[in-house]
Amino acid sequence: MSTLALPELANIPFVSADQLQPPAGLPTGVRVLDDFLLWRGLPQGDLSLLQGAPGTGATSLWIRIVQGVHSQNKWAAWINGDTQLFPAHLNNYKINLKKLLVVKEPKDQEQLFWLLQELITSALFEVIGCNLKDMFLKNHQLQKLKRLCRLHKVALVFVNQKASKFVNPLFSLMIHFQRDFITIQRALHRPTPFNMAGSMIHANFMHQFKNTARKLLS
Amino acid sequence: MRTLCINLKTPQESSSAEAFLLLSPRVQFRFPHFIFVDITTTQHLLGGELGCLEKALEIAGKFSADASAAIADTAPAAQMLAKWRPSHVSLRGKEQESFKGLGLDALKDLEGLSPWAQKKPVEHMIDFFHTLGVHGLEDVLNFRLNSLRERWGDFGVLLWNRLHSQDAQIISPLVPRDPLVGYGYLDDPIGSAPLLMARMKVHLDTLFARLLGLSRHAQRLDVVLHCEYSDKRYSLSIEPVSPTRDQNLFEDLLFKKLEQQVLENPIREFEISLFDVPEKIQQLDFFEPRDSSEDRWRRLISFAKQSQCEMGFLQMEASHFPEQSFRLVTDWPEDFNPRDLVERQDQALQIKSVYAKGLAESPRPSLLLEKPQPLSAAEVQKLRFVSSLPSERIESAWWQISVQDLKNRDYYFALSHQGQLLWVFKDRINSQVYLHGYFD
Repeated sequence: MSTLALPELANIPFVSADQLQPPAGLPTGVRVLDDFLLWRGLPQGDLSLLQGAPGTGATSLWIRIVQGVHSQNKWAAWINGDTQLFPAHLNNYKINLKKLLVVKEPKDQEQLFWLLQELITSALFEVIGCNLKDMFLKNHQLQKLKRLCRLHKVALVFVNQKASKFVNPLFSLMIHFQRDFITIQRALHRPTPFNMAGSMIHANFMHQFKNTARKLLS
Repeated sequence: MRTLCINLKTPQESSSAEAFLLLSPRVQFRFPHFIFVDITTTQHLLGGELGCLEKALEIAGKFSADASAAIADTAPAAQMLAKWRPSHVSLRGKEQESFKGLGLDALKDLEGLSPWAQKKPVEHMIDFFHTLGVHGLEDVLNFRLNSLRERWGDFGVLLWNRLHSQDAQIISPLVPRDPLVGYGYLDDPIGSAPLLMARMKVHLDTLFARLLGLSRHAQRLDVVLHCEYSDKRYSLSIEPVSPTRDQNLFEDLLFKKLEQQVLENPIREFEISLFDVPEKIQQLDFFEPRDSSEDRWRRLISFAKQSQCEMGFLQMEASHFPEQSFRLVTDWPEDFNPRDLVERQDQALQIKSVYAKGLAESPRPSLLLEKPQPLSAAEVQKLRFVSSLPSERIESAWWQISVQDLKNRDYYFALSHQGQLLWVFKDRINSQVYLHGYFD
């Protein structure tokens, strides 16, 4: 009977904690969120899902990521749903409109899938945001997109306006927005669900109301 | 004079000479497949005569698989060397040295721009030299002009002149006149897109090579496919967002269109027309990165446009109405400067006011509805308005009051019972509340 020879403990090449590096991610700029997540931000080369009714802050998080991407002089893309991205708002966040490609609402799910593939394989964009409206992609389509994202190192962020409690394992990160608080439903290698105060993401947004010329808030 | 001769070896159309305009403006085509280029004054631009030769062979590769070329002082010698000594560059002023080792058959190719009227006198001459025991071309050089004139008259003089670089054939500048069109007739009709594409590619190669030679850009490509079993024809039109010379882009777009067609009735013949526009002159900054990201996004936008999907950059416009304050453009958006322009000249001060400048700092939602959505009274009751006074008012002139245009608006921030922060406005004519955006 043969015995399995285990290597001596001294011969095993251990890696010290300093040498460990988190997988690639795009920082959101929200410190609590970045510290919590494995990727120190949203996963690059993977799928993320931000869900919540419109007006609860999902797009703001995506815009914050684009801010970081643009500061590195890289590109981002956005696919509109029934609502469109408003450039006056983006200007307040110093988003470079020359590095943000915007796509009008696709006709159907098939066109959306085709568009996403083209955008990912163009290897132009660091992050692609997509407002899903009520067109949700099928699992095999998501699998294909995930494979393409891995290959081209693109962070694909879906923004879904109809929140679902079902946790799809194809998304490495799922966040549910409820304005007052934010629930991280799924994040790889992290204990979930995890709740955060909504003001952490919206704090930056309130300056618009504090404009002295308008004095809506004292 | 230095002449480059390209022997394409397969019969070509005279328009193929346009592709060689990259080498020099003095280009001439000679039936059936010779191109003569005067490179005396332009060779230094392409890295010398060898550089010219390489470039010429590269272009010729698009027309013929086994093209050959050579450079000599005169056109006849260049043509002869292109056939018998491919890729040879003769010494300047001593092209006769390159004739060493060539047989008498090479005399048949000593033609240049004006071919021999008949081949028979040349063949007769070769036979005669053979009877004299002369078998090499360099031995013919020893014959005197008078000897050849006595035996063969003017023909002998012409031969002597061509052998001794005395027959100066001037190559005139080429004026392109032919339209950029291609036509193909398929002996076996084709009903499969990839096969059809392969047959059209040959024509596209030559068309784009001509386009490059003419320094033009293609704006549109029209393809007409004629069916075999009926008069049916397919018309395909390819138009990228901006004129380009990117052949791959046109091919990809064309292939995508071809794939969408049902080719049950196979294709017998096709016509290709290319619509060209002048080249845009671009001054590149020395330090500007030469990456092709611009090509990539132009390509992406062209693809999207073909599949009826609008894509582009957000261009801000000066308008008080939020839905009119931006649009999608397919080119780089211009910077929107929301500040007044103040010009000072000595004591004078001129202010050029910018419309809608105050809106730049106003709070704006991240998502805007394409059309304001009217809210029912019950829905309005559920909303909690952040302030009783409007944050903004849009008012139009008194003579423009109408309900349809929604030109009199009072904007408010409101919270829904789900915690959504909304941007709503009240129409001041009929007091109807509309939802216009989300602070998402």
